[in-house]
Amino acid sequence: MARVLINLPAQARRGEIIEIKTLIAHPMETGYSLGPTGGTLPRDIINRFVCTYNGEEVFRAELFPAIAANPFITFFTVATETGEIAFSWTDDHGQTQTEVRQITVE
Amino acid sequence: MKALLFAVIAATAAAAAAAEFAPGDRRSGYDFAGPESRAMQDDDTANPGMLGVLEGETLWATKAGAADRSCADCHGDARTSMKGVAARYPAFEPALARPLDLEGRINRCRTEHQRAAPFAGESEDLLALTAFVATSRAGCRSPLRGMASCGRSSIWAASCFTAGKVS
Repeated sequence: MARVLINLPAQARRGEIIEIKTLIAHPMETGYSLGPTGGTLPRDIINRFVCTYNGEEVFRAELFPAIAANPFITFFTVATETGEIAFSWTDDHGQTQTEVRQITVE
Repeated sequence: MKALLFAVIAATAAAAAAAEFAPGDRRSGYDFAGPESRAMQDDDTANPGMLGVLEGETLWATKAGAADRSCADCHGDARTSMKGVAARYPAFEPALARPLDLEGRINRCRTEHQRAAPFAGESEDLLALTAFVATSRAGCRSPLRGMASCGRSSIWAASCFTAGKVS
């Protein structure tokens, strides 16, 4: 499991626009760089990021090899109701890491 | 001759005293950074260095080596035991008769007390553990700022030491 840092307010007013910041540890190997033995390192990147709010998709991003290591994604959404915000990162091997955070909306 | 020697010593001492800044006048690089850089540095979730700190926290509690001991087994909670430690390095190590930086000290602990192979220089594990030790929040030395920013400046200090020029 990669290390993840997620910053979102624990509480928000209904209708408030909230900023969500996510950072995940990942080498984002492009497939073009050379390894210690001179051969190219195989491509290994996170190619997809999805954020769902109580099961409904609110943000999605496709990632490409030009994106730097430890991708930092920040975006906004509207706080509609109390519940779970889930974040999923999917890499080239098809593995998905999901993190869930709670938000309370008053 | 004796008087001359004394004069030279006195002059040297005066120069040393002049070079020393009063504690209130000490500034870290943080104080010279622009507001944008400070904001970025203060935000833990926007700082990829914090990923290393999280990793370091795990390593701190992981048993290693022939002694099967973790850092925490001897040093306990880093938040109290590592208070201000990073700021004291590099320091002269009498046993080795040479200066040792924080990473060198960690590796020495590793070989001496854990009896494990030292981490390779610049390796992810060594950087993570160093960053973790350097961010113990209580390590605040300057009364100028709050604890949080102190942690940040320690990370930067640690990243300067990672050049490995000293040990």
